[in-house]
Amino acid sequence: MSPGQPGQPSVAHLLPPPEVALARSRPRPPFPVAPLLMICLAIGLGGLLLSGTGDPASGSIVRTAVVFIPLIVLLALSFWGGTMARRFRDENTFVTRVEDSARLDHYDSAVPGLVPLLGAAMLSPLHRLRALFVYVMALLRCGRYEEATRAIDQLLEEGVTSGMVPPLKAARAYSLLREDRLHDADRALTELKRLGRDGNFSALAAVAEAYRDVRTGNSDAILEHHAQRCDNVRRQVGRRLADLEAMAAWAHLRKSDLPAAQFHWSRATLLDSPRELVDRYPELNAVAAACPARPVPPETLEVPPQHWRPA
Amino acid sequence: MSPASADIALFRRWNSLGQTVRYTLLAVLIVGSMMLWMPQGIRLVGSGLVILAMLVYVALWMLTLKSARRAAEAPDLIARREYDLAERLLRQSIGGFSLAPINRLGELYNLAVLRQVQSRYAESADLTGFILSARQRTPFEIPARLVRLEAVLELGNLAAAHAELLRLWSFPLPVNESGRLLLAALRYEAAVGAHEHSLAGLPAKLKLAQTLGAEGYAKAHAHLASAARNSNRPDLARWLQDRSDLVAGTTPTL
Repeated sequence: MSPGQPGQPSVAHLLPPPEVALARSRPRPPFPVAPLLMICLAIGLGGLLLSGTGDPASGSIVRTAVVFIPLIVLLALSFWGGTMARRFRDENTFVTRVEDSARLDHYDSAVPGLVPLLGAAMLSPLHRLRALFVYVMALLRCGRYEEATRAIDQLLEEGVTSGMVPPLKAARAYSLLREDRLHDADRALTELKRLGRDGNFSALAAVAEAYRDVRTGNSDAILEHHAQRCDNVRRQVGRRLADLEAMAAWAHLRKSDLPAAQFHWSRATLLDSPRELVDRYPELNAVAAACPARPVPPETLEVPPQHWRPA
Repeated sequence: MSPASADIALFRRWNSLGQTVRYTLLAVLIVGSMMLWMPQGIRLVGSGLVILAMLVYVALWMLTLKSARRAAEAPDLIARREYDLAERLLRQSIGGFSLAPINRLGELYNLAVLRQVQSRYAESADLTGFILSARQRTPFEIPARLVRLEAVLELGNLAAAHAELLRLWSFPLPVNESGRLLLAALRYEAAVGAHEHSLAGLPAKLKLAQTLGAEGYAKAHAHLASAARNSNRPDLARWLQDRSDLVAGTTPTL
């Protein structure tokens, strides 16, 4: 997809392919600190025993070695440890900044920060996972669904922390739906629902399931489960209610119930802009064309309202 | 003596013991090393002292790490609302030996968070006040200030809230902390009647509110709606209140 397309970050072309991002960012094997410390301790203890009982002529050399060799090694290790700790903190700060930009939907500033981060071996596997999560979200935001699916598959194969599995699987299901791989998406959703039963992630499953129903044209299922899905989402990620309301509007429109469609579209556009909703779910274009969006007070807009019209 | 003062006294007692042990071990190590250059009999005693000091030091660090690992479970327990278990764990850690004062401050911070979720705001404010008065700069400074700000707001101490807000505004905060600060600032501004100030920079505040969970989102919008009503901007107030109602689950007036 070309950069600068409406609703997509203008820096989309900066994102590397998943294989490159994952391979380059992989952390190097850790420095063997523990064996070094053990050797140091062994030299120290051995020397101490020798210096206490050994030959008086060689005693002075041994004593000096006993005190100074471990001391020099410990000093070198603490200097190295201090440097590593500072680099570790800097990396964490950088990843947090990138995450924050992504959370605020500022992908134009998140992506330029992400590229150098994933371009070299990272220090911490956890920082790398957080950066790669933002990378996947950026790929989805840029409409590079096939690459996003590939990246998620590789990440899940490498192993991620348990808290990251449900959002990644939800992103995978959404990506598969956008790729039109409905059968795979259905399987991904089943897995996600199974996770949702154990953890507190049913909101993600609810939104992804509703979109599956849109893709398969199952407007009855959307309306049947709407209230229950809204309750799930309301307990966790309130803003995503906009997605469910918009999909309910789509279902009502398919059933030619225009007043109900307008009611739900008005609720959806109260929480999110029609442009954002149509970017995420192109099927909603018809709803945006048929139903008026809820007017937004001018003082709530960062930039003057743009004259966006549904296609 | 309030329960928080008792916790602080316990913390101080064990902290000074840890400090004394640390300095004693260092002194033994230096004296033992110097004895290595003396005649044979004293040299033997020196070797013994150095070996003993090193072994004691390693053993105490192992004890410290074990205690820190146990205490690290407390935030998870608090998140899972297992308050009794978290309390027991934190009390054991605070009333136990540790060579790392920074870990102990972290345990005290977790205790302050626990008091906050238990609605024991006075204790939470006392504990965070003590953490912030520590001489060393700690990684808990910003979270502790946020907890203290929320606690003093609950207690209606607006002067203390104002002081904390001024300090927190001077830090570059990540989004999570900024969201919490936004909620607290909106509460403070509502309490002092600074409604126009609440509505300043509204687009950025709305963007930040979107990163909060559903409850925080609804609360932030309700505060902003109230500020808009009090500033005589009924259309904006209605729009904000409808957003709050929709996310909170009460029917908006569409």
